[in-house]
Amino acid sequence: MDREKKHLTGRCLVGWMIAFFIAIPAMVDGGRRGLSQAARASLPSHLLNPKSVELISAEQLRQLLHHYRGRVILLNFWATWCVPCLKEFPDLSKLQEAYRDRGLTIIAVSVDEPDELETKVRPYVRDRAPSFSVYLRKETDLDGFVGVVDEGFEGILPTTYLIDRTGEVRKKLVGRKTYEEFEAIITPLLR
Amino acid sequence: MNKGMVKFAYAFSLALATGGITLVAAGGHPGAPDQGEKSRVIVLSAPENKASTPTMALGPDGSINLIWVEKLPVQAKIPAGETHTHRIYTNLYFARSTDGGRTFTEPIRVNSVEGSVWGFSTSRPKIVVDDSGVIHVFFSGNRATATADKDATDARYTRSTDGGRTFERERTLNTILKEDQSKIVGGGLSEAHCFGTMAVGPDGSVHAFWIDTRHMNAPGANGSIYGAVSWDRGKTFEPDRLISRDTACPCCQLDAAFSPRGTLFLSMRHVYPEGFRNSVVLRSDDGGKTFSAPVRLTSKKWMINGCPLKPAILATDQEKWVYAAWFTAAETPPGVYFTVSEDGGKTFAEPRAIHPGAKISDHPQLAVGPKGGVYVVWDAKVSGPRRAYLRISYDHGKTFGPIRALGSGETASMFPTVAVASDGTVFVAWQQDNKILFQALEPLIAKK
Repeated sequence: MDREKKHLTGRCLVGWMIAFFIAIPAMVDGGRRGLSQAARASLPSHLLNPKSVELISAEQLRQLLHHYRGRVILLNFWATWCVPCLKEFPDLSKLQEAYRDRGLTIIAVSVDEPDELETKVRPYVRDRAPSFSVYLRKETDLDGFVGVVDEGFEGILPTTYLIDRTGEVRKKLVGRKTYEEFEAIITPLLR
Repeated sequence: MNKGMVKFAYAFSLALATGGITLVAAGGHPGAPDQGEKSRVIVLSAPENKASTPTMALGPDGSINLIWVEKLPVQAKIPAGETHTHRIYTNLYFARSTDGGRTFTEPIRVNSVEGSVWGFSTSRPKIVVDDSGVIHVFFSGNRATATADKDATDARYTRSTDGGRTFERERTLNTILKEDQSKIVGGGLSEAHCFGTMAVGPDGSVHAFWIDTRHMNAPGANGSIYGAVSWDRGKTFEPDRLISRDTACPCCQLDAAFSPRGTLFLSMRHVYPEGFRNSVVLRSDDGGKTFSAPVRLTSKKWMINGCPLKPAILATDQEKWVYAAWFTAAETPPGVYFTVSEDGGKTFAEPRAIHPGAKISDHPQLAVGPKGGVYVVWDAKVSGPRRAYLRISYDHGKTFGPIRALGSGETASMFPTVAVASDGTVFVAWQQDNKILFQALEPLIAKK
């Protein structure tokens, strides 16, 4: 009995050690890259690592944000016709490069019309090759779409939401911000 | 029987939407239904297209004249032989009622070339019916540029002199540029003359205004305001001319209104050198030849380096009152605000929130009714989807009555428009489920 108990205890210990050595690196890696198995399972792969601009629904955006929980997120709403948005793109790109390893994920969502994927949004983004993922809203109902993070979205572009590692929206930034302005608000959360 | 005048049977009348209007407390929750103010809701637009942004004007004969845009299905967007397009393929439609909104004529397309309207919610076409019954329509149009092989937007005008049975072939009011500005303008456009408006004076002169990119020298530069005037009720127009250079926020639509004796008011979002962008009103006492310095609608500054896409809507009553309703984030909380000038647009009263308690309110429109009535419609999110609302002042905008919800509220209703007959009957239309809905309410007029 004692031997069996000891054996079970030993098996449990081995099991925990295996789990520890498999899970912890996965968690660390997940924390770094924001990978969550649950979210990965429910989101189509082309939305997790988009090679080009992809259409995204409100529900998928919700899942994507959940997927990156554990990282600091800048969720940027923009449009191809919005010049201040376009001027913000290079700064956001630089920011993503500089702070990726410290836990920053930038997600840009175009609010151009959903049927303008091929005609406007993909060509624009292809020419600029930003260092972050870019999506185009699938829904025509902008309220419902941006309502994933903000029920009071005024329709002003660009609007960027700062989301902390717990998934809480910490700041709403209306209008174009500079690299330095973004840096000042993200660094306290990246510590 | 003239097909164009066949009265619609309106089989589409929405039983579910005939909840009429509902009184809503200023805090935002539906209250008791209003008594006796219901009529059926009529669907005006074609079911296969995405319809949006209705605009309404009453004629001197009491006719109700409505325009709206309908975006064509996606497969109609890319021309044969091409792989892509930068155009917005949209049509502009018109319908008219001569029986107080019970029936409407079959909608007709206003633009002569299929899909040639650059129309969407933040570039709302404008309709005005003058005192002789001529129907004037201003909208932004698509144009393929020969020089740049790209698209451009134009300021276009058309009119109907036969009560809306037909519209003349639209005319482009702006000068067509020789240079390709696509690196400056953005949005795939090589030049832009859009976000415009129109007002018709008591003398029948037609004044069109739009935001023009021709002086822009870098991406993000301010727009200029150009205008064109017709002195013969839209038969001919003078060449376009500069109204205000490099001062306009480029994507915030203009609005204009005349006082009964011919003072012209023009609203725009002025970009100040300090960086704030506020809605302002310019006044012209000489038929649009010269304009006053801009007068801000609020003393508070909206500092924003972005695209608000928010016009300020104007209306006048006699010579004294100038009303404005607009979205502003200069006030707290952001939303639709209302102000009134009692000195002909020289100064404006402290703005008041039109929908306190709403999570967001936007897209106001104004109408003036008898006995000092001011009628404001807008859309707002309170709980559930966005919904269109109406609020009335019977004392020239000093105080407002309760907030009244329009339609059923089951799905999002947006971009309402309003007109008021001489007996106080209120006509409203809005966009819901990609359709244009219309409703005539019973007279809402001051009791005294």
